[in-house]
Amino acid sequence: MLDLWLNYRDLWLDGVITTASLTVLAIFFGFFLAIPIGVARAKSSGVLGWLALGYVNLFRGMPLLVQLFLVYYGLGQFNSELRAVGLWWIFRDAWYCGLLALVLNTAAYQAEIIRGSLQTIPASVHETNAALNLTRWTAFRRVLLPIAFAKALPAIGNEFILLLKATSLVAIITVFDLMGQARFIFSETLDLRVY
Amino acid sequence: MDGMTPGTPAVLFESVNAHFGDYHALRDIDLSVAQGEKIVICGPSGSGKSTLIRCINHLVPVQSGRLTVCGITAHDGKSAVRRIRAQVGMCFQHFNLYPHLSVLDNCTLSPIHTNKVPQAEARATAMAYLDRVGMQDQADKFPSQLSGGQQQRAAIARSLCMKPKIMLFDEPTSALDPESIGEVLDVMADLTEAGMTMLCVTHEMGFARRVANRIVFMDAGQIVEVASPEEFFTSPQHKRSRRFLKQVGPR
Repeated sequence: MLDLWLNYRDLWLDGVITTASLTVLAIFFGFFLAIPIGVARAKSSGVLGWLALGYVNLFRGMPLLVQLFLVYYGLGQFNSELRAVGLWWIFRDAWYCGLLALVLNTAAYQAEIIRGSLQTIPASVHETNAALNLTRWTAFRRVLLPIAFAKALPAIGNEFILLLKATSLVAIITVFDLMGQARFIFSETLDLRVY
Repeated sequence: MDGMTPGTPAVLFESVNAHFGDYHALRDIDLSVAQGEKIVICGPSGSGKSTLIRCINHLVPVQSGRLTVCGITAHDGKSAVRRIRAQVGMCFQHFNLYPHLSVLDNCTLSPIHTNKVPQAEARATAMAYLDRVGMQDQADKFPSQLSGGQQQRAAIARSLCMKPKIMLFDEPTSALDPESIGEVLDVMADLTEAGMTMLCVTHEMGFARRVANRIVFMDAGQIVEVASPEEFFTSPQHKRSRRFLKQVGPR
């Protein structure tokens, strides 16, 4: 067991770093993408609300593996167009593709967490905002968002753990995260103990 | 015009009606509150007392009739409600301090962001009002670290920081223990001496007798009786008020 670790230590460490950085960055960027989507879900009954609902249903309803394939293989087909708009650097690199798919996916889940937190803010808070004559923006920025974030934190922690495990799928699109390195080392050693 | 001329009433209800769905919460309310007047509203639960004062700053919409606050009615254009709310402070039964902000930040939030008062000035004003309600030592604490009475005094200071002309109190002491009730009522009595217009829903009959200019007794969404405390407690005119006073007991 120890020899598998010692012989391939650099690869293992590289895999851990890739997995950890993908997870942390995806949660981070996903959170900021989730805020407007979650707010639209909670507050808008118009076009924005429908768009947000569509986004959430699309990305929560589709397997993450399919999303990875769509970004990596699917969008990769538009090579010349993407070069033209200067976005080829994302779709050229499997790591960026993996990150993008994870961000889009976790944003949908986090948006629902934010929607739930916003909707469970008690009516008394809204009354207080009105009684203190806060503007809509101040009420949102200084009161509703901080309270919603405090409520959302445990659920986002949960999402973090789920996403950490979900990152193993990026190995399929040639990203050498922990899972990818394990697959590589297995192919070298044919030793099932790597897993 | 938001500034009141000396003669105009602070609050004027003219056959005001409010409904919650099918429920008729306020029926043809007529009431005029003079500037500087202290009104205590009492009555059994569900009688519309809270609804009556919540109409004043439009937490509850009025369906018909005319409600004028500081010379402004809600029909005076889009910003009327905001202009009314700028004149009216409110304290709630459950204090409703923002849990994520310190006492001082609770007090300065709206002055800084709504009234665009410079931060240093807002803090100085807040500290002055916190001092007045005896909370200057608790300014940096969070609401969860305070007793109910302290929270309510902080909430009163927060309302005062908006420099309102009218203060509304919606059962400010009914969630408090007897000792805290005393400290909150003392702060409120202190405000009355400063000439603030006050409308207060309360079950504290001793307080009502002490500070009120007039007592409004409500039942089933209607104003049953308006009288001076002296008249109301010694010779109530309506049998509904007599029954209420008997049940509330001699306090």
